[in-house]
Amino acid sequence: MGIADAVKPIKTVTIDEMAQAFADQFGNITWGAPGLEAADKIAITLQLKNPLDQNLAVVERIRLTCTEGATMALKAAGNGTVLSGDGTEDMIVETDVATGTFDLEVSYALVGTATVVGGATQGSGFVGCKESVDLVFA
Amino acid sequence: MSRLDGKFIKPGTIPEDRLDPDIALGGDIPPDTVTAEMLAASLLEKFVVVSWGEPVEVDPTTRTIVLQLADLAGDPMEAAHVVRVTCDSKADLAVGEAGTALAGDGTEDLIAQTDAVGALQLVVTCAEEVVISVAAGPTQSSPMLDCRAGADVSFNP
Repeated sequence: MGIADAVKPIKTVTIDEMAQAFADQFGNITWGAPGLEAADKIAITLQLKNPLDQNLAVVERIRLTCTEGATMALKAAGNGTVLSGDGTEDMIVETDVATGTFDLEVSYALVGTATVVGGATQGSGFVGCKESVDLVFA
Repeated sequence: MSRLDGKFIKPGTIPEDRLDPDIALGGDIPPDTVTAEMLAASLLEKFVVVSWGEPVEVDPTTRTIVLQLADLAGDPMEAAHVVRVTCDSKADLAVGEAGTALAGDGTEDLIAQTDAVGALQLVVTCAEEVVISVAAGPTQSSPMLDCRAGADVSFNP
């Protein structure tokens, strides 16, 4: 490596160079693996991650909507809090402060795929919700 | 050895063994070092954070409170942006002396634009002796917003 490399202008800043506190300002919704269907219900965990792809243990307010005909609720004894819309297709939730998770349970009596998407709402921070999840009901 | 050696150094002539050991070669930034405060102003202003002032009592059923936009470094942001503001149905929200109402003025669900210095004065009206929680959020035409901070406006005597 030559001396020129040491004095060349910085042209790019990568995500890996973000300080922890800076990276933790931004949350992205990710989804775990769906559980097995039982009694027309499938459980799945929403996990917040920062841009470094680390689990982000913060309270974040998220609006969840799903396919018409399906309904959503907090899984029994699961992490997170429902703020409104419990048992409907349009729910506002808070993730768990200790884990950044929300344990969702989706009910769908039909055969087919129920899609769940997240979004920012009143009281949300910088949250990315590009990742949705498809749940297949047999 | 030149008599100027060690006193005057021209660009591009610094031997590697004279570099500060904290300076990494290759122009890379060490991991975990970039903070919000290091962002250029033009980048910093892309991230808008909502903050709240203290409520002010106007009369027994009326309070004012100012929503102020800030950047990621916590400095006030002088920019007009659109936000949605909601509150409990027991109260109404209207735009006061700062900002512009776009929809829902005088209701519990207001869409408004801050003024040029990033301020939105809200007039909160409530006939009951309760604490009204006010929340902001993004809506159509909003920038990337951090609205985690809310405000509680007390109408208790």
